[in-house]
Parts: sequence; structure tokens; C-alpha cells
Amino acid sequence: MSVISVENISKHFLIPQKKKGFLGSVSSLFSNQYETKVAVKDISFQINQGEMVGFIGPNGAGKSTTIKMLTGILVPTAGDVKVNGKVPYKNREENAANIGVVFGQRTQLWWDLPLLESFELLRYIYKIPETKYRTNLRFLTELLEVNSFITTPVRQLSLGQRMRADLLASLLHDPAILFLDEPTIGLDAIAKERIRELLVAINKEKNVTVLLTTHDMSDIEKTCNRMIIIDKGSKIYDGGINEIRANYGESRTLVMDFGHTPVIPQINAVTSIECEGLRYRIQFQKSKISASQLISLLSKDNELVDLTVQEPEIESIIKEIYNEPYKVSQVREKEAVR
Amino acid sequence: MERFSKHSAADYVSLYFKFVKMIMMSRMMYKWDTFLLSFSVLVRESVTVITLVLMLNKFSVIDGWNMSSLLFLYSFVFLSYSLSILMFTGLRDFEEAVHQGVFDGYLTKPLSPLFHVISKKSDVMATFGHGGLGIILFVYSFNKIGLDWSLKSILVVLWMLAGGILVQGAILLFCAAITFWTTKSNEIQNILFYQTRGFIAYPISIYPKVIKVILTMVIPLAFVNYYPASYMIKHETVWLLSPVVGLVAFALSYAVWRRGMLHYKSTGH
Repeated sequence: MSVISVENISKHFLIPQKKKGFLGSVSSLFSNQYETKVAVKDISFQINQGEMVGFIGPNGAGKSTTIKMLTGILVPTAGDVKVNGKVPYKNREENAANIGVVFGQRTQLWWDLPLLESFELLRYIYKIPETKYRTNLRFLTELLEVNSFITTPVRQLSLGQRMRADLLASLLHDPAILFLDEPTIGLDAIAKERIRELLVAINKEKNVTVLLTTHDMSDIEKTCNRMIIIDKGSKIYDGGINEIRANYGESRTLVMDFGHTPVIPQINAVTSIECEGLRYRIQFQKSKISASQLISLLSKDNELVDLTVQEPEIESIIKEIYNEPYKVSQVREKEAVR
Repeated sequence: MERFSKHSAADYVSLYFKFVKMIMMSRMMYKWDTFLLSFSVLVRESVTVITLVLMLNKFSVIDGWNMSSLLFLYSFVFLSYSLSILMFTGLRDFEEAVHQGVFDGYLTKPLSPLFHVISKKSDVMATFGHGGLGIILFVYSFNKIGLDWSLKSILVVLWMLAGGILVQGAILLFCAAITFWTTKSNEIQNILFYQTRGFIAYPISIYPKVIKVILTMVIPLAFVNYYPASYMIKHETVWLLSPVVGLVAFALSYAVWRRGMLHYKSTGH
């Protein structure tokens, strides 16, 4: 059963045209010239109960705008959105009662008060019955390990703790769908990992449909089995995460620090080499040579100080999709069969 | 999935007090800060009153208003602002809430957004500062004029304060609603509210007709102090209108707010 249904939605913003200079800005006060900025362009998708879907795209791609239309914050310029069978902006309050929303960049908790106070207030905002509130609170404080700081004022929490607290706050009323806008932004590697694990656990335990936006590819790899890539307001990919791994993200970058200027042999699988001082960035195709083979080949005659292997970033995958669009259609066909 | 039934009026009243309790608890985390800020607001506002008194001493009577009745007039400005800001700080700071994305959060809650905006914030320091000065001025001038401390006069004062609160809330709400179209509204608020308030420090009868009409019909700040004080001192009966004007103004601003909501652009994409 699809809990979210999005058909051909677009969102345009009218931006007043500003002219340069003082006289220009005065004259623009009286003119009605607007420039239309298309934030989301004709996007459609369906999401089923219990799915975990990742929205990925570079900054300004339209991820947040899409989420804001699904949560009833923004009214779409065109197209239909249904969440739990209802139009979010028309039934905003009813929709709000059935979803949980977390914005990674800001908190919905009361900054100066002990965490528990915020939860208590939410109980009345969502009209959660007493027993349900107690059970959920007990279950979630244990799952999210919030107990140790539940009486601490929010301003004293670390970002990772605050994120867990915000997650808890968004789940107290048993929402059917959880929307997360950049849930791991600003967190360190360990805290990020923790949040990812918790999201998976919540999805499993409560069968909550999870929709998250991120520009960190590994957020999606660790949590979702489906991803939607958005760029410049359009959907450019919608499907399994493994398919995109197999078809794209073929190139890896090996970053090596050498002790002295290295001798690098001619290798076919290497597509480019850049160097800054003794740091070399070597791009290679993983299907032709494995990272370990390449490392042993390069460290044989050279003194190696340090190395890392970098995964392709979302930007480079998007670039690849643009450059070789036939691969996308292959992937889409596979999707249709599945 | 359970169906959510919207909050009733009674729910909202009890929620409002829960929000107020949270605000007060937050403020109590910084007791000294709250006290000192309230005190500094009181001092700041006292300076304007003292300046006014020194200036007016030269005239002794303005348009039939002597010093104590002028102070009585002024006390309503402070008292009603004190209570307006206790209730409507969220409207005053609405531009900020939009810019920081806080308003987005309100829209994802099963509550009326306007209720959420209003009940989430309260400038307690301004309330104490303006209120403290207001009470001092009120009590002093009330006795000086020789008005009667009867139940009736207290009820009349409360009734007119209610009107003043609504009128000021309505202006702040109107400015907040403008934010939906312009994303910036602090300047508009500064002109329509704070600058215009400067006029009502004096009896509006001294101004040219245009300004009198504006202060009565367009930005009805005259109902905050001039008409109420006129009734108390001169027994002119326009005072009855105060809360009615407040309600009408509030309703009109609310209509603008409702329209504006459809234009809400949020920030960041």
C-alpha cells in the first residue's frame, strides 16, 4: 500500500527582480517584475508502508522543497501530493498528527528546559493518551539511550544527543511516516553511525515509513534500500541502491602520501593522477583493478606514508548519470521488472 | 491509524497555559538576567517619561490636559503595551521565526500556526519593565487627578486595557502577516507600530485632522489611551468602543494572515 503518492508536482518561487545600484533598488520597489525560480520540476513517486527511502542530491537540488510539500509546509504550484490518503496542505493538522518531522539543522525542543519537559508538552500537542505516552516514552528512551540525559537542559546536550532527543520527540505519537531533513548534518563519524543504526532499528521495530534527505551518500547506503536522486529540481534516478552502485560509481580515488617522489608505473586501469607535493590522488576503475592490487603495485618501489580510498561523491555519480544516460534507462527497466 | 480530532477551544486554553509555564520556567533559568533586563527596560522608559515631563513643564497645560492627566494618558501606553507584549511577542518576532525556519516546525504540528506563534514566545522583561512604570504612573496620576478607586472604575480600566491589547495585537499581527509576502517586515513594523506609537504620548487633539483620522481609523492606536483617558477624565463616552475596535482590527489582520499563509515561501530550498 502506498502511503505517499506524489504525482507531477512542481514548485515555483517568484523572486522579485532586483536591479543594480541604489536607483535600481528603489525602482524595483515599485515594479512588479518577478523572476520565476523552479525549485521542483514535475516529480512523481510512490512510497509504500514500511519503506526506507533516501533523497539525495547536491545543495539546492529541491530535496527540502519536496519534503516541505509532503509535510504541508509548502503548497505545490502544480501536481498532486497525498500522504496517508490526504492532501497535506489542505488537511495540515490532520497530516501533522500522523507524521513525525525532524530538521537536522534546528531543534524542536525547548532550549533552556530539561528534555523531559519538551516531551510532556508534546503529549498535549498530539493528544497522546496517558498510557500510550508512558509506554512509548519508556520504549524510546531505552532504544535511543536517552535516559542518562533526560533531565538535562537541551542547551547542554551534544549535537549527537540532541539529535537522538529530537528523534524521540518526533516518534512519541506513533507517526506512520517519519521525515528527516539532513539528520546527520554536522555530526562526527561515530554519532552519524549511531543515528543511522537507530533509524534502521526504528523502521524495523515500529514499521515506520522513513523518508530522509541527505547529501551524504553513506547515510543512504547504511539505511535505505531505495534512493531517489534529485538534481536541479528533477528526479534523475529512482531505484535500488545496489543497481546504482553496480552501474555508476565505477571510479575510486586512492589518495597516497609518499615519503619521497614516487616512481609510478603505467597502469591501464588508472584514469588520472593529480599531485600536490608528495600527496597523489590516483583515480582508478574498480572493475579493472582492486584497491589492494593497486596499493601493492605502488608501494613496491616507493616509501608509503599514508593512504585512503575515497568513494565517489554524489556529485560525481550525478555527473556520470548525465554523461551516460543510457545506463539510467537500463536501471529503470530493471526496476519495472522487479 | 487513528483519526486526529482537532483541538477544541478548551484544549487551546489549557495548552496556552502549558506554554506560558514553559516560557516562565525557561526564564527562571536566568533569574538575574531577567531581573536586570526588566530593570533596564524600566530605566530606559523612565528616561523618556522624565524628558517628556521636563518639556511639558514649560506649557503646564496642553489642549486642556494638565500634567497629571497627561501622565495618566501616558500610563495607559505602558500598561497596555506591557500586556500586549506579554501575549504577542511571537508576532513581534515573527520575521525572525520565518528566517530561522522555526515557523516551518510549527507547521508540522497539529496546532493552529497562529496559536503556536503567539504562545511560544513572551518578552517577560519588557512586560515587567513597561508594566512596572505603567503602574507607578497610573497610581500616581489617578490619585493626583482625584479619581475614585471604585469597583466600577477598575472594571472600566480593565475593559479599556483589553481594547488596547487587542488593538496593538492587531497591528503586530498585520505586520507579521506581511512577512508572508515580503519575507522581511521589521521595517514595516517599526513604522506602523513603534514609530506611530510616538504620537500617542500626547493627546491626539493637538494634531492635524489627517493624523487624528489615521490614529482613529487606520492604525487605531488612539483607542489604546486617548479615548479611554478622555472617558475617565472628561466623561466622553467613545471609550465603550475600545474593545470593539480592537476585535474588528484583530479580525481584519487575521484575514490578511490567512491569505498570507497561502503565499508562505519558507526559507532555503
